[in-house]
Amino acid sequence: MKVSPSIKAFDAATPAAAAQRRPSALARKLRKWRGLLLVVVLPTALAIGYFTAVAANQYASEARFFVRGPSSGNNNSMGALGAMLGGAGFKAVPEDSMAVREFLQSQDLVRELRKSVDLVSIWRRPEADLFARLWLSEPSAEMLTRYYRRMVVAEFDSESSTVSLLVRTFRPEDSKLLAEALLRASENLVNRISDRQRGDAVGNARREVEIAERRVIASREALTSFRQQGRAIDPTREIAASLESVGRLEDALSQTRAELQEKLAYMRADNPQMAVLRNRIASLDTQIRAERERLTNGRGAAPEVLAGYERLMLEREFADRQLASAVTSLETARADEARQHLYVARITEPQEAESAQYPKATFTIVSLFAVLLVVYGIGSLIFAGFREHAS
Amino acid sequence: MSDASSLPNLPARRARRHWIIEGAAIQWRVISALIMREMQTRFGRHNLGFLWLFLEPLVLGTVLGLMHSTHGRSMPGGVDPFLFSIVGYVPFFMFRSVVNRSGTALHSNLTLLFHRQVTPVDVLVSRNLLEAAAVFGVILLVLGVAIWWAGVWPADVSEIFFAMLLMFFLCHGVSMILAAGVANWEGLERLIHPVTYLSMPLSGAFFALAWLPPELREVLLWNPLVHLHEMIREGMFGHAFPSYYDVGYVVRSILIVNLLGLAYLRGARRKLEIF
Repeated sequence: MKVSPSIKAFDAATPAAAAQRRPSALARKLRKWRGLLLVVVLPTALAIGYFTAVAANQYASEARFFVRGPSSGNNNSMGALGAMLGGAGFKAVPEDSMAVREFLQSQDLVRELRKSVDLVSIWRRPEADLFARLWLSEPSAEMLTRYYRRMVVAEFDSESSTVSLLVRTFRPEDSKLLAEALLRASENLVNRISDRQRGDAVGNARREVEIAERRVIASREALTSFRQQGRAIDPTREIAASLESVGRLEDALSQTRAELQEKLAYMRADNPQMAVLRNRIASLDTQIRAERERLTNGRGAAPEVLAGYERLMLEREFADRQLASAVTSLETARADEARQHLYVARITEPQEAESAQYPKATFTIVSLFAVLLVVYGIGSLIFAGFREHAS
Repeated sequence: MSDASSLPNLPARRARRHWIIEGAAIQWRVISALIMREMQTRFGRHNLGFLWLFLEPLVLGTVLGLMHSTHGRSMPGGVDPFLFSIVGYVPFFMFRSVVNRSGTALHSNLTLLFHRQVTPVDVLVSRNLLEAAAVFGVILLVLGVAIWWAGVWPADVSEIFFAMLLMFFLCHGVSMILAAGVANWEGLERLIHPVTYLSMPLSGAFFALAWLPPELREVLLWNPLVHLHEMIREGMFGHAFPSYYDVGYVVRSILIVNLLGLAYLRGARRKLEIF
């Protein structure tokens, strides 16, 4: 006459007929185990019923990616305790992947996604069961985000520093579509970050180069117009040439003077040769004076021309140097940009599920049963304590 | 309480009420009476015990904080080292003080257990409630001072309280198991103190899991205490560094530990009644 408690659940269905024969024994047993039946067996049976009869298939689509970028320096400050704990290897947290993961869980993304994908109808397909589907037909962004976080799981795996994305919907093609859209959204995010990060450096360098180029051109033009106006290709050399000619004239003058002195020693002053020499001296003198006049006074005088010319030459030199340095910095900026380029590297592409992997019926039922059993155990012990006190 | 005056009424009331309500009410009365009694034995005689309750976390936190500061390197996430040590030690302090006192709980109340309505569970519940309340007061004070001193406001106070509540239930379960274990084998009591001391580095009190390599982190996360410490740190410092915890896991371990504790204590009762 031993009825083990484990078959109570099935006995409970057929007692009506048997109740006539031995009502007291069975009823007593039922009464004795009613706590267990109510707390453990009934919810588990309901869960089994739900998962076998009601629950709609959910199809998962999984994608995995990581964000590639410049190595963000793994000399993170690691704290004194790290050293104390034996200097275990500390990994730098790849912030960009983390950022993408945060983004994938954000309301911002849900709002953005809603523009391109009809999220509400995807999660309100007719085949969806009452418990798993999205309840509201016009959900607010917050409600939709809450539901979204239930159905879309983005996890950051710090070991491989990848982000894994798991999308569940009621049709395989919906899952794939949604996963693709999410990947695209995260790619857009990464591109935005990346553009903002590098756009400035190169743009600045390019602007710098433009300024330098304009300066170089302006300096060349100024030089050309100076040459045209001054009718001189190279004033420095011209001035040198005229200085030389003045020197030669002075040489000739002093020579002629010396000759005159020499001839004065044995000739009469009114000798015609003396007159010739005097004439030459006078003409040389005036010539020298005229030359000097031309070099130092008036428009196109040597100092001014020279100063202007030298200024222009200096300007040209500076402009050349500025251009050279601007070009170098543009090149380094370009190289940096190439290194700082962030992009989403897909490891696994989202696929269309061939069979429904969700909901996880067995796991859920078994864990529910186990938890309820433990709760029942604690509850019955506590109630036994109450009974003991009351007695 | 007016025990003498309410005694004549008791049978009449018992007849009217369901045994669950009646039993719960009686158990509650037993527990509150035990708390009053415990309060006398714990803090009544000499106040040094009470003072020590305050001093211990302060001294340990200060020493550790100083160690960190003199080490020169700053903590990751720009966290104040003194506050970090205090926040780490203080919850562990609750665990230690509750668990350490569980070994002697039954033995020192053995005479009371001769009364039919005093059960070992009552003794442990009252003892742990009192201890937790005292420790909680100390924690509030110490944390308050530390927060005022460091000038950092906790990110989420409710999370800290929730973690402390979970910590209490966990400690309660563990203390029940240990009390029953001591009743079965007295040598266990000698082991409780050293083991709680040695478990300090494994409890996640003085380091954040974010600093550790993932393999080590996985191993440490088997310990529910580590989850609770991570939770409290998150409640204190927000997201200065990533926190790793799973409330579901903690709740499950609390359930299991409490079930084992209640059942074991029930079984250990027979051993006790021999004395």
